Amino acid sequence: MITAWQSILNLPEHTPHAVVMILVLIISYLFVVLPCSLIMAFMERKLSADLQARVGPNRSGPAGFFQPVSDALKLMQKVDSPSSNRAEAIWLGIAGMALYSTVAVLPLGSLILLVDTDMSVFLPFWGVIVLTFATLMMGLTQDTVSGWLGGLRTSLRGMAGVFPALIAVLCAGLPAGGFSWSHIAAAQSAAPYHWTAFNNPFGAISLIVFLMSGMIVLGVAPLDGAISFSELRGGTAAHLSGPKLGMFRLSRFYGMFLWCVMAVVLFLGGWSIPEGLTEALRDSNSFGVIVLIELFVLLIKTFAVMLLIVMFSQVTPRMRVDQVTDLNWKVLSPFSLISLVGFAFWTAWLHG
Amino acid sequence: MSLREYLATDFTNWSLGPYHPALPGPMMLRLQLDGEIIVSGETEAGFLHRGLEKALERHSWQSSLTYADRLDPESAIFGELAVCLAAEEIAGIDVPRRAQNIRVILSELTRISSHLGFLARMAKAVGSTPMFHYVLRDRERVLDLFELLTGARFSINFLRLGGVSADVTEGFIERVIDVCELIRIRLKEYNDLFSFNHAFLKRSSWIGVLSSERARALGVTGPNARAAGLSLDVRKSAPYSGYELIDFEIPVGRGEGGTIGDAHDRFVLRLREITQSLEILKQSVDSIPAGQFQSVKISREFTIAPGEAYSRVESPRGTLGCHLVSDGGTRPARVQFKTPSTGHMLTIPELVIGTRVEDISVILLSLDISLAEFDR
Amino acid sequence: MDTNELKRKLEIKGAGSSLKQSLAIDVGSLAHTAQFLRDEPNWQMDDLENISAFEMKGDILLTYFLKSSSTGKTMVLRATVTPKTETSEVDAVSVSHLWAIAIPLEQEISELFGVRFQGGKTRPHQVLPEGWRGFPLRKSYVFPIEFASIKHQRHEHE
Repeated sequence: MITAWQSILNLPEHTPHAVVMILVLIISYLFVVLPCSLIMAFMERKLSADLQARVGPNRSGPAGFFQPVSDALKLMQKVDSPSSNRAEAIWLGIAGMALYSTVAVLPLGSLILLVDTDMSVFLPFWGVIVLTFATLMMGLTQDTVSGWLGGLRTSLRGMAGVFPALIAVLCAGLPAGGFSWSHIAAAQSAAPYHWTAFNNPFGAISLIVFLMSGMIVLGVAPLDGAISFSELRGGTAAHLSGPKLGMFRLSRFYGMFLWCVMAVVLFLGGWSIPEGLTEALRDSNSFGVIVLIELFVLLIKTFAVMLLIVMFSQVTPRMRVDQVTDLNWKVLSPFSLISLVGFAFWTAWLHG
Repeated sequence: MSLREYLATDFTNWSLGPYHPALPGPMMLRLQLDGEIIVSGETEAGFLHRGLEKALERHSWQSSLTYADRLDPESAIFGELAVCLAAEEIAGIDVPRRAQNIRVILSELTRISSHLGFLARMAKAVGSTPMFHYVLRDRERVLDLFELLTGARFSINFLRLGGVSADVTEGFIERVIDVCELIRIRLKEYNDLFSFNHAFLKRSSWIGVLSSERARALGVTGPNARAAGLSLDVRKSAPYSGYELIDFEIPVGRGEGGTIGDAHDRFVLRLREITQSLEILKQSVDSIPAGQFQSVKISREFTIAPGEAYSRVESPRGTLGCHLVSDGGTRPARVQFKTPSTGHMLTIPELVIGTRVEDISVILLSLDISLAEFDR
Repeated sequence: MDTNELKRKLEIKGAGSSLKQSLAIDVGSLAHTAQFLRDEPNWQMDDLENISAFEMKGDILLTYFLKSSSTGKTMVLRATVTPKTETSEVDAVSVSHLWAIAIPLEQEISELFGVRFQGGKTRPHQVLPEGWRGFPLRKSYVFPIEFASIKHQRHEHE
């Protein structure tokens, strides 16, 4: 895999692995994560405008395509309010580190997986849990009721949402026989009826559970009690402005991107392209083309999932935070357990 | 020490306002919170006090209507109508039938516009942005009608003592009929999209329940009282301006989503009131009598004989009363408004007890309070 | 006045929806009269619609609009209070123990006219800002030139 990267980047043979890894991290962040987060931000704005019978951004770039860029530039040049809260800065740093460490395990293609162990799937969950905890602590260090309630609600939401999500991940790993990205991708193929979601009757349930618990964990409207603009004015982020607000928004979109990519790889076939094509390309040693095509397929599916999420979030009114956790514990968790049992029986029946 | 005592926490004081997304206008809401549950609440208003009643005493009768128009910006005509009815009663001015009919048309259009604004605010309170935008788009069609006839969208300044300031044309009537048809179609769309949406029901049913006993005790009138079960409507109990000739019903809360008098009931009731207003409009535009649109021409030196009167009109928020006193001069001696929002503000400390922080917005906005008319 | 005198007055004057038929009483017996009218089965005036105040030649007239929710009849009570000087406060009796709607109405009258409602629940500075002097709705009120170091005239000679 390192060799694949070395040949893509045309690096000399004896480059230390650490340097390659760092380069890969930087490249994937700059060229995949950042643009995709910006594209997701744009999609959300334009789609939600369409659903609300508005025009949406239409000034910067064709059809307002560069709106997130101009937002970012605008936020960068704002003077940040002086925050005398050292503790908050520390927790913000920890939250950032936790979130962006997941770039290392982002499943972007079969040849460019940086870390391909059985724990790859679970690292984002760890990152998300740390993020939740850090937001809780950030909220508690603030002096306002908005901060306290926002932090407490975030922690409730975050801790609650990971439970059904993890069960759903277990469901996806069962037919694959392992949890590394390559195992899971190998268990599916390009054809939709081989995807985990459509392979057996319980797949769709676990896909939906995974997506909804993702929305709960990340705080995507309508399940965003902690950011609740109508009373908390943004919760823990109520006082952010300038570059910090830009980073906060970007990290939210990155979280959504991460979750959608995971959903696609676990349940919707990931980057699989038809076998014959892969063979032909592999024979002709054009790794770069394989990477690009796989990335393309992956991103198309990711944006389709994002579209679904935006449509759902626009049509549904926001739910109260205790109703969100009720939904989580009383609806999503039982369904995830049912689908886990179903998957187990199905896999045993198929393979035994 | 029991576990409960050991884990007991203190209450937090949180004051929202004067400007806050959850509040209907500039007011302070001081809450004591036990975690997320509200233990007690207290309101303070007066931020929009602009001395309207004093200003009305310093200007002529001709200008008094322009000031009364600014009592509540969303339902401007009702302030004017209250002053007109009281002044016409003292002065003994007869209003021609055509002018009365035009007043009814404008009143019901304003009621529709105000209730659409209410629907938009409720949608925003629960975070349903599409509904918010759809409703405001349709409200623009009604406001276009006002602009066509009076030149302004909200503060229409159209009534005069003895009638209205200009006549309506055939074109206006056609457009009114078109808008009524549009609103009728849209009401069905709102019901499909939002009114009985499960998430909205969970946010608003059994929240902010105002019982009919408390509504009567606190002097609540209008749609809030009707949603609580009281059948109070000035248009039926003391009709004015030709309402006695129009056939319409008064909707009363049925508690379909949860219970009678909860926030969802107040929401659905106003939807029903829009339907009734459409019915009234249909009857009014079908039969506009020919005639004058104004019976007397008022100049700046117009005087009214000494006397006083108290008029009541049914504004979109409740019973608006106007106590008008004339001492024979060119200016009113006293104009006092009794606004419906006074009673609604009294219910707030009761309704927020025991609810969660996230319900504040829904409760406050479901009462449809106008701080402008509360403070004057 | 006592109950019998009140009954006699009511029989003479009657009650009606027009303001021309109102009952004038003195301010001390206001609460008692209102309660009588509320409880007496002939009248049953159990709704307070409005409390209005206006100044006529130095006297402040308080007008209480009562209504019966069962019969729909309305009734008007009037009480007159006279402040000793143009800027002094004057006392009246509160009816907020009978009707909750009286609280905000009496609050406004107390701040804008300078009428102290005994037994009432008025708080300071609800309508007018802190530090405001005078009672704006009195006819004798003179607007201050300056408040909170903001002048309402631009030039000295206006």
